[in-house]
Order: sequence, then structure tokens, then C-alpha cells
Amino acid sequence: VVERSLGNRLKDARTRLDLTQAELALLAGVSRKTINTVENGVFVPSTLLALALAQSLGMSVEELFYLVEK
Amino acid sequence: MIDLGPPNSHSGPDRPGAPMSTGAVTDEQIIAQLRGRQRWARWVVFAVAIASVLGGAFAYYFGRRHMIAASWWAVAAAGSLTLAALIWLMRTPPAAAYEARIVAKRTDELQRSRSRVLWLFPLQILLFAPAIIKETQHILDGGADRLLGLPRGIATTGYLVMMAIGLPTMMVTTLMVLIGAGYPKAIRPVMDDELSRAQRAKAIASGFVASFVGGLIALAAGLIQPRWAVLALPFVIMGSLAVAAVHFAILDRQADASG
Repeated sequence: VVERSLGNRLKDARTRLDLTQAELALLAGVSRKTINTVENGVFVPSTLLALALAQSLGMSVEELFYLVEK
Repeated sequence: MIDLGPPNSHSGPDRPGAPMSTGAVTDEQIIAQLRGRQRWARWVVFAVAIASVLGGAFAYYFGRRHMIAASWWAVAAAGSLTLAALIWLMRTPPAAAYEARIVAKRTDELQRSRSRVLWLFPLQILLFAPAIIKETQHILDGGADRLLGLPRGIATTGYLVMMAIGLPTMMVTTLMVLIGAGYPKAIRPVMDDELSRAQRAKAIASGFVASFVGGLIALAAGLIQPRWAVLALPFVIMGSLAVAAVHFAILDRQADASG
């Protein structure tokens, strides 16, 4: 069994658009804490949330998230 | 181009039937109004809590025996009035307070206030503990009525009030705060978002473990001395709720700080 975790480029994408966590949260319709925990890998988002975040940043889910094999 | 939504002010009707605003009101003014109400609510709760505790303690330790039951009813009545006042405050917000735009700006604030409430749960148990032990012992001793020579039912009234109002209130509050039920519709998504649901699942698992361990301890104690099991059960129930509540608050604080 391969152990996997979820990596993300959320912070890079967000800062590239000059958005704060709160602003991205507003765009994606979630709380700032959600953005914070996803960015830091503390919380693995659902497919729905991943799609919403990608859409808010004008990216695809694959561009925003990637698998990290351990 | 990222669109961050409508401009920072509005005018016109805020909800069906609401009067027209006389001028533009900024979101910040609405939020300031809300905070003013919350300050009031906090003072009301604080004053009623202090008055209840002082009044209850005075009647309990210095009053005549029949005042014990009366003091519990007074505490219950004060609690109910406070709850009614808080519901009124929440249900009659300043205009536009529960519009999605305003709620979105207050998400952090709302979630933090939820966690603050949860930290109070262990304190509630400590406050209730002496009365729970005393009243349970009265009943286990074959009825405090006979023991104290009081008219039937008076001595156990305190216990019944506590169990009928205190415990369910604590359980309902826990569920309300954890699930986000009972809040105005616009706030519910904030209190029940995806992260909250994940945190809640972990917190409830902790509460389950606590109730399992507590139940085992109560069972073991009951095998030695049956009355110990009965004495332990209210604490097992409240303790499990408190563990879930505090674990949720810890997770929420970690989520806030993990940046």
C-alpha cells in the first residue's frame, strides 16, 4: 500500500493574485480558517472544496493540488 | 480578474417587509452595531450568572431548608430569561446583519466566539458538581424528604430542576455550538462548514472515548459500592460533553494558528 498525502500550491497561487486568505475565503465561500488549514496541509479538502478553490483562483484542480507519495 | 463582490455599502430594503434605509450604511457600521449588541448580551449573561450564583449560594447555605428548592427554581428562571433575551438579540439583528456579505466578513469572529463558549464547559461541571453530589446522595439515602423531615418532594426539587433543565440545556448547547443548529439561517453555513465538520468528527470521537472510559470507571465503582456508580453517572455524561467541547475548541485554535 502506497501512503499518499495531498500537496498544494494554494499559497503561491493566492499570493500571485495578491489575495489575502480572507479574500480568497470570501471568493470560495468558506472560512479563512479553512484556507489556512488547507494551505498548511492540516486539512485535506473534499473534492467539492478543491474544485471551489481552483475555480476561485482560475486554475484547474490538478494545477492546485498534487499527490505526494511517501 | 478576481471579483471580490459588491461594493462596501448598500441601501434599500434589507429583507422582505423591512423599511427602506434612509441612506447608505457601510458594512463596517452594521458590524459595529452587531458588536454593540454582543457586548450587551455578554453583560446580561455575566450579570445574570453572577446574580444566580450569589443568590443560589446564599439561599443554599444561609437560607431555611425550603429555600434550597426555591433557589434552584430562581436559577432556572434566571437562566431561561437570559436565554430568551439572547434569542431575542439574535433574532432581531440590525438591518442587513445576516446578509451573506456581512456574515462572510464576520466568519472569523463568529467561529472564535463559538470556541470561547466551549471553553466554559469544564467550568460548568465544576459549578454543578457540589450540588449534584449532594442532591444525588439525598435521593440515594432513601429520600431526603424523610431524612430531613421536609414536606414530600421539596428536597428533591433541586435535583429534578437540575436534571430536567441543567443537563438538557448543557447537551443542547453543546450540540448547538458544535453543529451550528439554532443559529439564524445565514450563520449556519459558517458554523457548519467543511472544516468545522471535520473538527467536530474528531471532537465527538474524543467525547465517545471519554464516555466509554467514564462508563467503565462508573461500572467498576458500582461493583464496589453501587451508590458510587449513580453518583458518577452525571459526571460521565457531562464530562464526555466537556471533552468533546474542549477538543473542538483546541482544534479550532490550532486551525487559527497553523499559519
